[in-house]
Amino acid sequence: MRLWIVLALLAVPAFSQRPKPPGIGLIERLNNMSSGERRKMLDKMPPERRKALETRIDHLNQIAPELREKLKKDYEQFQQLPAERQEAARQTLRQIGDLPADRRPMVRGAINNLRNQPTDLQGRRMASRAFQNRFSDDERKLIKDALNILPSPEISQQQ
Amino acid sequence: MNCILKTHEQEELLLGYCCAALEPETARTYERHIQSCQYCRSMLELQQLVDESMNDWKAPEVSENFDRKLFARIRSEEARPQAWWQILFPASWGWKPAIPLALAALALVVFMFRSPDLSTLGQQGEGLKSDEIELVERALDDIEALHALHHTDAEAAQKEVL
Repeated sequence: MRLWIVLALLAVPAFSQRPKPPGIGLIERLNNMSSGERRKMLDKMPPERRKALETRIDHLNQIAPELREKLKKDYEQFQQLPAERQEAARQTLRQIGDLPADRRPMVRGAINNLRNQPTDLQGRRMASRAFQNRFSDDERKLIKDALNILPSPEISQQQ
Repeated sequence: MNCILKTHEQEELLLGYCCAALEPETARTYERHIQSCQYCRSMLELQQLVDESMNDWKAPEVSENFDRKLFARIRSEEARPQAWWQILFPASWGWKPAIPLALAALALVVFMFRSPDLSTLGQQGEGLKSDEIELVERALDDIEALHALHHTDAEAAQKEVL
C-alpha cells in the first residue's frame, strides 16, 4: 500500500511542471516565424508600435546565444517571483535605468558583483567606507533593494 | 482449588466438565470446587442451559438437490466471461490500489484543466490579440531590464570589485 502511495506521489510532479512564462513563449514563436508570418500575426497593431516591437525582438536576437539562454533562465526565474515582488523589482530596475549615464554602469556593476557573493560578505562590503564614499544614499538604497528583491544567481542555476 | 473464573486459568475445565470430557480425578476435584464456589456454580448452570438449548435446536433441512444446485451455480459463475475491470483489477487485489490510482487520476485531471499555457495562444493564425501583444511587450520590458543589469560595462563592473 505504501509503495502505491509513493508511486502516486512520484507521478504528480511529472504532471505539474510549471508552464513556460507566456510572454517568452510568444516571443519565441514570433522569432520562429518568417517576416510575412510575423507581420500577419502583428497586423492588428498600429504600424509604429509594430515596428518598435519588431526592433526590440531583433535586438534580443542579436544577443549571443549563450547570453540569451542565460537571460531566458533569469527571466523565467523572475517570473516565478510573487507578483508584488516582481513589481518591486521592476520599479527598482526602472529607477536604476533613470540614473545618470555615468552612474548607471557603476550601480549595475556593484549589484552584479554583490549578487555573486555570500550575504555576510555583501553586508561587510556595503558597510565599508569605500562603498559609502563611492555611492550616494539613493544609489546605496537601490543596490540594497535590488539585492533583496532579485533572485540570487545560485537559485537561478539550481532551477 | 482456586476459582478458575477469578484466575482465568484452566477455563477449559468448565466446558470439559459440562460435556463429561474430564479425567475422573479432575472431574471430582472440580466438582468439589463447584460445591463451594457460587461463581462457578452459576456459570455451570448457564453453560448447561446453553447446551440444552443447542440440543433442542433443529437445523432446517436442506433440499435434496442442494449440493447439485450449489455446484452448478459455482460452475456457471466461473464460466461467465469477466468484465474488463475484473481483468484489470482482479478481486484478489482488494480495494487498496484504488486509492493511489484515484490520486494519480486526480493529478492528471488537475494537469489537464489547469489554466492554459498562454504561449500557445494566437496559434489560430488570426494574429495576436491586444492582451497577447501587451504580454509580449511586458516580457520584453522585463527581459531588457534584466539584460541591462547583467550587461554592465565590464570595466565599470571591475571597478566595483572593492
